[in-house]
Amino acid sequence: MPDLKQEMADVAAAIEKLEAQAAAPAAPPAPGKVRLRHPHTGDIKEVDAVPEKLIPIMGLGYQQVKE
Amino acid sequence: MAARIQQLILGLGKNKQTNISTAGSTFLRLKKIDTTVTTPKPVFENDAAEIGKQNEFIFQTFPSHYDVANRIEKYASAEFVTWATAYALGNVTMTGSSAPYTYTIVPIDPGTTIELPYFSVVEQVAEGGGSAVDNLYVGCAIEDFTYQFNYGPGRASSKMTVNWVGSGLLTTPSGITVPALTTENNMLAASMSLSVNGVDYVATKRILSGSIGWKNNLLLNAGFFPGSGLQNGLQVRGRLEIGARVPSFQFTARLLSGSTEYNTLVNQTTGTATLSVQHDAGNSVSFSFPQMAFQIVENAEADGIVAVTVTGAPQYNTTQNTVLSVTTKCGISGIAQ
Repeated sequence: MPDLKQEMADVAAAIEKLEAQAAAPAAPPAPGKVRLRHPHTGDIKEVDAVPEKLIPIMGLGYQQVKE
Repeated sequence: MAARIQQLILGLGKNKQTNISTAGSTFLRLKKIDTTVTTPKPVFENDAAEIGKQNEFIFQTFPSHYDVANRIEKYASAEFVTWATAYALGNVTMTGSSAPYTYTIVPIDPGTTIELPYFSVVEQVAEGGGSAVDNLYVGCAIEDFTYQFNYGPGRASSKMTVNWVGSGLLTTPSGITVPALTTENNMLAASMSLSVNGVDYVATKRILSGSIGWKNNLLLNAGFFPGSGLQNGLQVRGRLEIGARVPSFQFTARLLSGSTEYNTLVNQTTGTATLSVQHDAGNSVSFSFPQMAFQIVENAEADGIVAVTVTGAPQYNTTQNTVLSVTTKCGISGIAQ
């Protein structure tokens, strides 16, 4: 029973940490970079802000993250 | 009293709508060269063909749906081509913190979404102290665009035509104060560079005319789904989804000894095709097909000069992950953002 209580407390703490991370404003991308996010997987890529680098990633469905 | 067609004020949504039914709040006021005025067309059906009513004539009519669509034909400016390609292809990245802004535009990935960004259109015609027309069309999407270039002087050498479709949602009077005319930077064909499958058609002074097109084949009937909504008792669309999209590319060039078009067709050689036009360094457009084969090569004539017309077959490139990309620069931020 104490183990279960501890486990539940750990899970609650982990959830709280995740929520805090999600609420925190993301740092802006490095200068000269653009952040692209896949709307389904949530994967984020920071890409050089030049068309030749952006196009192959955007072609896979990644969309610009509004900073 | 009456109103001249030149009084028509056309406002195109700059920022994309948050959804199909929420109007945009920012507009670009642009000039155009076609004389069409959009009609908010309510469609009614009737019982003429129905059985059991003595004769074949109409006894009753029934509200069906709203059908809103129109075209915009313009001299190609960096601003309008950016607007048109951004809303037609759908996946847009804007970079730059001050003008000129760079837009990188590719078609939406159908594995991610099959809905393009929606925009609003406002049309106003002042007449007799009031308005002959004052309509706001909400939830619009681009059906197709065609960029056309031609030999010859002036702005007519480089034009852009867009056909758009509305959801049917309409606000009259619009309640929109359209901003002042946007300063547009027209891109004459004389500024063009064109390279197709390794051939520089400008350096050899061969290129005469051509076009680049994109058609979304929007699924118009599927927009009227159960629950899509009503306006004045007529159905409106609750979505505008892409169908089988078709890119196109055609050009006519002078035919020379050693011209490679026919061999490129027969051998189905593929290569890149890039067309760029500009007003200046800060106002430009570049269309790029990463993988282009030729579909049809026909000998032709233009002003008494023997020519060849090539219809391209753009292919999807698995390195670039696209069939077409458009890169533009202009002084307006926030288009389709």
